[in-house]
Amino acid sequence: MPSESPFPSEITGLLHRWKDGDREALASLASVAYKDLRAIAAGYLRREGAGHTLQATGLVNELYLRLAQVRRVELIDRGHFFAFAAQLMRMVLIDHARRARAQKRPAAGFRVPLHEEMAWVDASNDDMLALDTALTQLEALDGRKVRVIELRYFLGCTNDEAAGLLGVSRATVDRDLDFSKAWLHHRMLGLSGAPAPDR
Amino acid sequence: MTPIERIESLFHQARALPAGVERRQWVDEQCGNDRETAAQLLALLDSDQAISHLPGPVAAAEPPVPTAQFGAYRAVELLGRGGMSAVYKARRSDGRFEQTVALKIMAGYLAGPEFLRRFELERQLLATLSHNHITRLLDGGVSSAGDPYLITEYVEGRTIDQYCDEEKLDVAARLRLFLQVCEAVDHAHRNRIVHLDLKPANILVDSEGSVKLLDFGTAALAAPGKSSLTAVGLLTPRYASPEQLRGQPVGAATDVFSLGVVLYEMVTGAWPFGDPASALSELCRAVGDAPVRPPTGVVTAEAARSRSTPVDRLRHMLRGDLSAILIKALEDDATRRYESVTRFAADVRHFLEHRPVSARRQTAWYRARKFHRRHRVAVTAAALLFLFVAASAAFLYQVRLRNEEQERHAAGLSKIVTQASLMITEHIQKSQLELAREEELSLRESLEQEQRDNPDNPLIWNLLGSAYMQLGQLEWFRYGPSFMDRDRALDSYGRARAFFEKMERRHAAGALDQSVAARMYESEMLIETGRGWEAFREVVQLLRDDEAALPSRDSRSFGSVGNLASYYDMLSDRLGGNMAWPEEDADAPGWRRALAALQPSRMTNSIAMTLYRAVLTPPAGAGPEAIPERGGAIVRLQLGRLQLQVGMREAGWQSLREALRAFSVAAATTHDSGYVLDHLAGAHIQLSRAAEAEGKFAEALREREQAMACLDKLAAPQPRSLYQKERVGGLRLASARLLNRLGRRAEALREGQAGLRDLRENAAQPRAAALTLDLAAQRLLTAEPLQLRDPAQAREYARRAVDQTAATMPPYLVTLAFAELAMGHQEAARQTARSAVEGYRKVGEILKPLFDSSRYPEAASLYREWRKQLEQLPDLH
Repeated sequence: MPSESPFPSEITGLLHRWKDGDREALASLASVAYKDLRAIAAGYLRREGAGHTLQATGLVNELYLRLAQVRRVELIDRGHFFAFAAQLMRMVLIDHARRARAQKRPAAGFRVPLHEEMAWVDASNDDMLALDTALTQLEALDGRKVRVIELRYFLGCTNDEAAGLLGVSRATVDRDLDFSKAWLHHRMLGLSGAPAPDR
Repeated sequence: MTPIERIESLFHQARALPAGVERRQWVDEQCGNDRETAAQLLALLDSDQAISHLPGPVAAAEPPVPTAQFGAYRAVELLGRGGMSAVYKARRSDGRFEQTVALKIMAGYLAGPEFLRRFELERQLLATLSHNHITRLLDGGVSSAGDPYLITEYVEGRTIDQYCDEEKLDVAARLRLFLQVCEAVDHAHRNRIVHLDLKPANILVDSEGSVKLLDFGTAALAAPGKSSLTAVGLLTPRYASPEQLRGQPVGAATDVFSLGVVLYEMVTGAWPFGDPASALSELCRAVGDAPVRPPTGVVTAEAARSRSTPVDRLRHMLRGDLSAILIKALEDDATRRYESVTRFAADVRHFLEHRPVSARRQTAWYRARKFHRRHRVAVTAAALLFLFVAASAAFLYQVRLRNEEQERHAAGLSKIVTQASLMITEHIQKSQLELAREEELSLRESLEQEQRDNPDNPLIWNLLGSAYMQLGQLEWFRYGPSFMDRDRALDSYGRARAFFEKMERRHAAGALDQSVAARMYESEMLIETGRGWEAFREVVQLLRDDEAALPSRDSRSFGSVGNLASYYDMLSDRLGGNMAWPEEDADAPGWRRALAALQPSRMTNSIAMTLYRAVLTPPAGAGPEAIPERGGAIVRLQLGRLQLQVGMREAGWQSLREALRAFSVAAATTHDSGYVLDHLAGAHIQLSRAAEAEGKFAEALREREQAMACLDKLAAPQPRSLYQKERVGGLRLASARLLNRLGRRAEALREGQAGLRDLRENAAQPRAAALTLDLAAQRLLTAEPLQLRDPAQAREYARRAVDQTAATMPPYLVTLAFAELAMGHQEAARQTARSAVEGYRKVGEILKPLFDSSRYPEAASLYREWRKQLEQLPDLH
């Protein structure tokens, strides 16, 4: 069960600011309300899960359980809410990766692919930092593509759900994904210095 | 095209070409001298290739079959892997007997001393389970390697879903099979063992068609007290109950739920909560955000084939009883499901035997249970009427209570009525109309019974009166979910009135307020059922009765006068006072201009204003604190609107601003936000009108946008009610008009079209209110920009409104006349206009007693002016 929950109005205020474009609010919200979420993330990403993607670890579920309280309090629409959850998820993973690096911990020993369709990204390590940078760059070019990626691969929506939440067609989502994956993959190669793939 | 859009476009096109030379050549052609773009494009295509050639997620290499000894058994062959365990076929290895068993080895890391202790206890318990349809536990322990294991009977068979589909069993056969499953689970429950992981994979069917359940109790074993079983990866969320997803206490009801999911799939071939592939559904379910999909809507032709039944017949079977059974088993709230598997099975059996099913007779009537306030009925503006009534009447009740027991009975009764109402509302919102009807009938029966039991108790009359008022609102209410059944509503309001009148005769304080309110609602129904003249007469009567009683009401005069003022306001509406017909071109017939300028509600507006002002004046000796905060704000809103209408600019603006301030404060501090948001929206709308009248279009548009924001917030947890859609539609059209004036034509068109869509959707409802139709017609005639107008459809709607009200509502006749004129049917329009004028004359006569010059001199003189104007309408004679 969620440990300490701050007053709903505090969360509400932060949610509103985030909605209005204040990205800092997201960070504040994560740190204020969900300190233990990071610990949980660490636990899940250490678990014996060879072959399991992030989705199967149930981390997303934990996130949701905590946010569920918030949603009931604040009349925020679905689209915004899930976009928020996805971004929060992304933050939690980035944070975990940063700490692991700072503490010079060895890699977990096994991979936790972010998602079947983004299997080249290991959610438990530095890959996440490279991905985050790449996503930030992509955001400058087209924010919607980043939202699609977050909803699909951080939160685990289906393509149709993502289309519904973002108010676009399914075909648009499919195209966004095809392009974004290639773009991110390309960017991440550059960032991580890995050898170029065979043509 | 921006650079990225170009790259994107090229990317998708290039992808469609086969990789290799052809593609590279195409890229070269497209990019020409732009080497940078070409390089980028090729790099992206490379990545795309690389991604599609990546190996899939590394499948866990299958561990070799363990060689350790597990009791007297040795593993032979892997049968399957679960979240934290693996199951093997095993053989007895001590040479004594030949026996094949199933060996389940659980993940080593689970084995701590705590776990082993529980394991032992559970094993003892499980060993006592002995039933035909449950695989017996034979042995268990911890292997030499430290892995806990269980040995059970080995069963050759298919999982129940496989079996049913491969054998193409029909619904009845599937249900019978399901009953076997219930038998087994019920047996376990009686032995205090819950399964907690029921799913098709755990339900096998052997070659003789007999069911065998696997894996009892192991879910509980593995993770008691974990925050959420799915989080630990032990549970398949697909069949998990809401309490399991939330990490809340589990019990027999949990198994009922999982069985419900299994049955739903067996019968329909679909998952009750949408797309099983979606991770989001699990999350939504955890919050209670995922309603059960109606079974009739999810069957496909393929599913029907596996059930050896034609699609239509399958859908038909799923209606009614079977749906009700499934819904009851799948209730989000564990206390509302079947209490036990026995009852679940009983209902299924009854269904098979064509006997009545308890799930449908289920009512909240005799259940005194805590009712979760998750599904609050959205409070809307028309409940404003009741703001005053509720505040002033029910609690002023001065009947001496005979004893405490009576009071308790009454309290229980009123709680039950509320529960039933909320359930009916829920059913209506989920489009479960048959269930809603059942509840409604049941509630009616109970109310009638109560009346028979307690014929002479004013306390009960009060409750029954209020109950019928609530029922009436569920049966027909423009402002919220309802059955749209006018006749029933009329009946309910009539009964409510009868009770309140009985109370009046006993001189119960507050009874008058309630009976007047009931009569007001009744009169609305009279209009909608074509008895308009009667309605107007009724309104005159009730207004006079209400006013006559005014001096005798003392302490709650705020509420009483406020109510009276709002009734006059409602009367203004019915006279057609709220619509402003814009100026038309010079060659429109004279009568058109005259009718448009008629202002039929000027008299009633005058009285309403007088009363609203009186409301805002504190009684003698009291200060401004005597005016309730919120009620005062609402009154200021209405007063402001009226003041602006008659041109009192300063006063009007001030009233509106004060109202806005009060509402904004309330919005920030109150939890009853729905109610306040609604009024806040209203305040912004009035301010917008005021600004528009002064030509301040930009400001007017801003106010409209604010109003829209409030309405958006209001709609969020539930689908929009008809009334809210009407408001949103009106808002959009007003914004369209303003955008047009500001020269933003494209946006104006878009907004206008969206607004008209809202109104058309409302009007398209088969039992749309006449008022709704008339409003839609008016908007279709007066929309801006001009290309949004649709006189033909306006005429259709206006016609329907007139027909529904049997031509007794003059303002609807006016709308119809204008529509016919817009279509070019001059003569028909003139005829209709004549009828409208006739109607107004008749209504004018009926209303005359209200405009008594001794009490309301201004209104009286306005009335005389109005009658004169009516007589002098040009070209209609």
